[in-house]
Amino acid sequence: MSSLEGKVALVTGAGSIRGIGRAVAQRLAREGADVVVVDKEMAPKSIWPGEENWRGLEAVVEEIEAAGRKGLAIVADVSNSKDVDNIVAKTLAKFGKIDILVHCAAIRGPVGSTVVELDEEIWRRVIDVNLTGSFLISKAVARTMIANPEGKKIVIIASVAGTFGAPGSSSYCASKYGVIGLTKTLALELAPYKINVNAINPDTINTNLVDERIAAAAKAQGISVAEFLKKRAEQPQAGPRIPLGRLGEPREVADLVYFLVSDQSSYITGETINIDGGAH
Amino acid sequence: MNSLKGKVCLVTGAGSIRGMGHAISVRFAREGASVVVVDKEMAPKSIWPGEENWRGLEAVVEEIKAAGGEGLAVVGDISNSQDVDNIVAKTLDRFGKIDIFVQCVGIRGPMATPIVELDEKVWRRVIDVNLTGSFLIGKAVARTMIANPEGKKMVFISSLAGSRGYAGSAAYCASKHGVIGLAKTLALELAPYKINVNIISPGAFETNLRDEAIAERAKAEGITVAELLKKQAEGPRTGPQIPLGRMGRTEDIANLVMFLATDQSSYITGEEIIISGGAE
Repeated sequence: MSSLEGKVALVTGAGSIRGIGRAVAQRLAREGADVVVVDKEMAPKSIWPGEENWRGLEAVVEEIEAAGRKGLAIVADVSNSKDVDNIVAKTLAKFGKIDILVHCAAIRGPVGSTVVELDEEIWRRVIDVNLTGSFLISKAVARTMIANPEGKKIVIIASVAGTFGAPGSSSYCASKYGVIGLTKTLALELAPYKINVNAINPDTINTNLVDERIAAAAKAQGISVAEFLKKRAEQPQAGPRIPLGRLGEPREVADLVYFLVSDQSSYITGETINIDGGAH
Repeated sequence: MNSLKGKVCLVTGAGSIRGMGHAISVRFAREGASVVVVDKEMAPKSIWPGEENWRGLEAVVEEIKAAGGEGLAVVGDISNSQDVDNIVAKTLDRFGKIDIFVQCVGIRGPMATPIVELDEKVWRRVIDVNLTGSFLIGKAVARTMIANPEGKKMVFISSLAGSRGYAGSAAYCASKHGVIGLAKTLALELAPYKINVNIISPGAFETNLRDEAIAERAKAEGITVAELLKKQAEGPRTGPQIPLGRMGRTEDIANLVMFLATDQSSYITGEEIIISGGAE
């Protein structure tokens, strides 16, 4: 097993209890890295029963420390360039470098609004966070990597919605297509420095990204979220759409991230890898 | 390093000294697995100076043993269903099961023959080995996996030529496109059993695959193979089309195969992963 001892990792979107970012931060710390965790709020809310008191980034940093590594929490919005500068400055001040960027921050936006009904402001917000946010953070981090590029890695979480149309989710879909284009271009531009840049396309993973959708569905059925979740847990979760018959877990995305930031994938760059239980 | 302890691996196309199958087999052994290595000949020739006495599968089995694993060499042509039955029977006879299957057999065929000039017999041979061979061995191995599918994994080596056209290489290109279609279908059919089936599409690698083409070019230039190889080694090796600036090495493939053969990739199936140094 290769180790990330001595490496500094920056993980955005790491504050949600069921998030991919948290699972990634935990895994990288377990493999030996110091980890800076970023989210827009200190403690993003979860709708799941028993998770009301989730302490967010603070709790993730404690998990990193429990793994024997150093952690740092930064509250920032990746779609704001001043916030992005602040993330990088604080990271360099504390750790002196960034070896690994895993960019997970994203919002889902509306799920059932067709293009002809979609509000411009909502469209702009989703594109701004998901796409321009990816640009700003990866640009700022890449700049710090170029001077001493050895072993540097960038992984950006896109989505399978970056590879086909998603009726009712045009802004999410377009933003994730854009993220893939950005990633592939960045990979080509950083290849001369031997910096690997790859994207991961998850299908539905058991995260808080679908919380809003669950809340809306519970409301539509006139039951509480807790009742809805209980009902949902008793049913087969994925239906026939996902060949492996279940939703993915954040831990499984973290496994793939770890492969892509280790020395085991040095000849893979500019690639998008689906993690979707065979759905696409 | 014994994450594959107790596992039985079958690797086809494992007899060439510079081949991916060779590197994969030795890696599996180092991870604690027993490995069955298959090739059409006991000792496929290499044109590279100093490699004239390569003993092929016999030597690979010795390397497997030196790495602490058990090895078995089987000579068989995967485009012949009787040979395929024999490969599976001998493997089951010795080890009782097949946990991990990696299909590396592939022939390159002509590299500069346009379709309008391409001989039917040559076309048929490439399709037969690369595509029908993958079907026959994939089918036979999958049948042994279904009864006790836990932790079973299949990996097919395709090519960048499986997703784009290459002028002058119609047979290779069509066969590798076909391998992707086959493996994606097999992934869907085996998903109910939780057997993962994935595809690796390498770009340009330093293997024996192009030996024949190199020998022909040397003849055309009126120089020896050794002279041509020397000339190539001294010239710009990769051209501008590989962003990472080097050809792939077989250990790059072995690292990726290892990821796909372990529990680190359990939610990835039916996926084609390109490993090309950023080349498209």
